[in-house]
Amino acid sequence: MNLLRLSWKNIWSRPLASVLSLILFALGIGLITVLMLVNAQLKDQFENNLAGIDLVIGAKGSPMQLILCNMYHIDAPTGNISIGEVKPFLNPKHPLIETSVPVSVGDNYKTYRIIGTTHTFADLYDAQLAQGNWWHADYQVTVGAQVAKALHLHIGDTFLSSHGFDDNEDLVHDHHSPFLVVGIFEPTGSVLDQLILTSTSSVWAVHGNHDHEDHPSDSTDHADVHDHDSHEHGEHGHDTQDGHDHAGHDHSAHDHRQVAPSDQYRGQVMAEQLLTSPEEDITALLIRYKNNNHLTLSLPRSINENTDLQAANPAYEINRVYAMMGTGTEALRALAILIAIVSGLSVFFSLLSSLKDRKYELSLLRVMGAGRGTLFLLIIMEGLLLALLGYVLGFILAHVGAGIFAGMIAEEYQYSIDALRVLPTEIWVALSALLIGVFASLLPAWQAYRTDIHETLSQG
Amino acid sequence: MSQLLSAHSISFHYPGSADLHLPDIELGVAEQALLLGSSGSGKTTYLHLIAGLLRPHSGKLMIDGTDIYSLGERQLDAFRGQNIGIVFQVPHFLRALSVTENIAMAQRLVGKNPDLYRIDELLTELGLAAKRDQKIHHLSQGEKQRVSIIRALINKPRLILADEPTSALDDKNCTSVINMLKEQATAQGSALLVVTHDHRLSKEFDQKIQLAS
Repeated sequence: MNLLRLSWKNIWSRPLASVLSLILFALGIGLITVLMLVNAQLKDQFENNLAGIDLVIGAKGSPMQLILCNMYHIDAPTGNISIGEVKPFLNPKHPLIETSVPVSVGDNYKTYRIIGTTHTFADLYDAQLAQGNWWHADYQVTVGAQVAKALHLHIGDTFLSSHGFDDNEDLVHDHHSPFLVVGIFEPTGSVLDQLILTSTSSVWAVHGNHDHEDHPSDSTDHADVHDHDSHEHGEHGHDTQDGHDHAGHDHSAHDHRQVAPSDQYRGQVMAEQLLTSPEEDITALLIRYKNNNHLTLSLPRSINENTDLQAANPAYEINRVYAMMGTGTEALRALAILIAIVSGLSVFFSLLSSLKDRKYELSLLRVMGAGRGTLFLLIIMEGLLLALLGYVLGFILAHVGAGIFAGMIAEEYQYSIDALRVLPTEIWVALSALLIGVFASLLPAWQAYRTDIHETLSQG
Repeated sequence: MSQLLSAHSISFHYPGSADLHLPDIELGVAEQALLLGSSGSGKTTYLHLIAGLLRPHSGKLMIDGTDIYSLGERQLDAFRGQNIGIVFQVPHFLRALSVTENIAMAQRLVGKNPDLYRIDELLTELGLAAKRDQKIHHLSQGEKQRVSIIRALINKPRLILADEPTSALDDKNCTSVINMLKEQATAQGSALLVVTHDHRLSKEFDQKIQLAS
């Protein structure tokens, strides 16, 4: 204990060198830890969001974009596909397909995406209702846990959607009825928490037949919107994604007629309803196979080669994302390890140069009864203390840093990172830091051990 | 009666130089003696041999009934911490610690709890009460030497060795420091051996041993 105190005081008797070592330690450790935190959590989220989806079918374009848009909800759509084109995949009797879920994206409310889909979508993520009900009629929405929390949405609240994925007040759809919150999901730990779900026909209705004139800001649509007011409307592209023109179609009539507020309003029923509007568009189909076999293996290829559709394999595309992320992470990790090594060197040099001035002190300790082993330990402890303190600072830095990063990506992508989560693997970073501390002090400690006290004391 | 310190036919040589034969010493309990020699006569070497900081080529040294050269290194370090207090020509300290902490460290290193009351008492007695919590580098040379005397005394060692304790001091400080050493050694029954070439000290000691140059 007394030795520990002496180590501690020795460290602070050379404040400049010690502070430099600590800063380097904290930077190296902090960078490594923050990389681990962000990587692990992003991977977790990516894996969670795979949700057993085997195939995504959408418009031609980049397969990665198709996946990112329709499964991860972080990119723009590749375009639209019509119900008629994907009709075979919506057939409940398809021999290969267990589930196929239509997805229509294109609108948002305060950057949270509104997804037009069937109830089967929520089943992909095992989502349970926390409050309220599933959406049954057009303009009814059931919202993810994170959306409800962040936007303080409650059952009975209404809001107007906005076109695209930015919270842009010029793109608010104020010509249609506001959406009504009818239910809130339990947290699922998946992307569903960040989404607002409604029926496919709601999306069609919003983008369906309506006039293009600018609405006055005090439009009557605003009347029943309470605290979740939307913004003034300037102009908006009324069409979902690709410029395909819906003007002229009036779907609101038959959509409203078809929607029956019943608990049987499940995926299959909805899929059948979709089939009655073959000319309408959706963004993609999410597909789960019954079994993986050689037929499912060749299905994407045959779709890509023989149709105007694009089929993409989520697992494959996500591995490509990892590979791209990996290059950047690897470079940063190498930098972090370099900093950690330099911090070890700085401890080494700081101890070594302090020994020159401390030879007499070390001899004095021997005179007063300390053994060689004690001197060895004293120096090791100084290295260890620096490493430990550096680790603690780095740990704090990493979690604060992850918090800042989480704030940045939450705004951009609606993905959340828990900065306070401590990974089990962080224990290895701690152990490595301590190991660096020990290694850096081994040689100085050995020199202290070998101090020739007679010679040192004779020189006065 | 048993002697506290007895050194017999101790010889030592540095690599490549001639053997240094050192005079025998006999010192009784609480006795005080002066070991005189000019510079280069091996005074400090002898003191280090007696303190067990150095091992001789041949010879035998008994301190309070213990043949110290028969001890292993770790035991010798511990024995020295317990039984021998050393005052050096130029006092050195652990610079990261305060006056009191430096003295307390001597007690801690032999496994004792610091006796803060006694440290205070000694500091007051030697006129250093106001400096107790200061860092060592704020002290004057004379003050430092007095603190080093307290540090040498604090474990109530059987033997106190002083290596030129006064050579860096002026006459006034010289007298006061040597008197302090003698008084404190007497007060706690420690034997005192002062190694010096400082003839100002000759009159202060009855027993003198001369080193051949």
